[in-house]
Amino acid sequence: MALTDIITAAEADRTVLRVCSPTEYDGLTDRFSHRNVVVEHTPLPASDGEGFVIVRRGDEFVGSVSLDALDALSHPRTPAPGSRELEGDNFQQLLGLLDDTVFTSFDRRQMLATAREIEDRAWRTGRGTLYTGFQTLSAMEDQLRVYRQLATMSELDVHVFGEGNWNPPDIENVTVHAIDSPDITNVWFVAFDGGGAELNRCALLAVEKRPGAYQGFWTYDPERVGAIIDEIRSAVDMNEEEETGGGEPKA
Amino acid sequence: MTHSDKSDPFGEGQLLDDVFDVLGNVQRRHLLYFLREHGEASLDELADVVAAWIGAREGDDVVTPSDRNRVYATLYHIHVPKLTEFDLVRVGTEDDEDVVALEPLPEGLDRILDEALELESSVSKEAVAAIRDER
Repeated sequence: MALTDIITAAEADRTVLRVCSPTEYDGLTDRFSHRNVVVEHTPLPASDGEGFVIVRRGDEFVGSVSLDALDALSHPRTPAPGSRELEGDNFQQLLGLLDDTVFTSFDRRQMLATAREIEDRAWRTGRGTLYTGFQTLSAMEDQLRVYRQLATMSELDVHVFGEGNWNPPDIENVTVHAIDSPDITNVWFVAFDGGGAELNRCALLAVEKRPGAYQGFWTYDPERVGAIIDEIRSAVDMNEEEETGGGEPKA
Repeated sequence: MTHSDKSDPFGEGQLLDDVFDVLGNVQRRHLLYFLREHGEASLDELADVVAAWIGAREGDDVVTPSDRNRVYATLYHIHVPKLTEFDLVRVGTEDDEDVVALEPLPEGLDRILDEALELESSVSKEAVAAIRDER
């Protein structure tokens, strides 16, 4: 299955975000309209100051978080991996609930905010392999600070892919693959293999539909992340290159 | 102590004992707060809301499906039967046999619910923390 087929398969699921609060949360529907997410509002008694969000997918209760999680979602930030700002963040919890969430039009900033969650998880885990596809390597230029930070984790192996239109500086533990296969250069991805712990696996995968408008999904489903990583590795012949599997820093 | 006397469940000096018995459980209170706003709801919906609401109040990070399913089970086996016994809700309407609908509430209970809801929002976290500290 090509990476773009994996995106199509993820679109089959639909998520309902039920916001329970005394007053309607302004503009929330607009905020999610570019995603495969239906937003409903359920009034709570007026004297109740708090609120919460229930996430359901099909007939399944997925989880709920308090309403302040949405503030972060509507103001996506891109703090550095491992920074205090990300710790215990409701945004991360809500991302977890919106697991396998399909989005139809993420801008670059929203993509970066979601990518940063995955890079942060890799940084925190401190080992394993992170795969990042930037479409073109020149897109990495803005992200050098982040990737230098990731490289401080000596047991974290980082592979960066993209069309070779720029020569990134050498960074230890970061292997750059200049590649022109459309399978890789048509998509923006960040995938983390969990460093041996399946529960830490996560991935973001999207295609650029129009300049600056991305369609795709993110997932914390270990199997789906595994499928994405397999696809990346076979597209660039890494399976033969490193038959013993990832995780070991390349010399 | 005849709770099963449906004609006057809150009569004969039992009113406050029974009111505090019914309201002495956080899930039953939240079920009643929600039904006072919406009139009726399915048990699935009530389980979602009650679990999420209490979780948000208690500062839980995320309410998980197993948390929610535990709430569903206690609503189904304990709390809805108890509320039915006191004639505060009925299960099943003409349109939907699974729906839980609110009955007209005794005036005293309605008033205490108003107060309880306000205290729930303003006091609960600090008060609970203080009580725990003292133990």
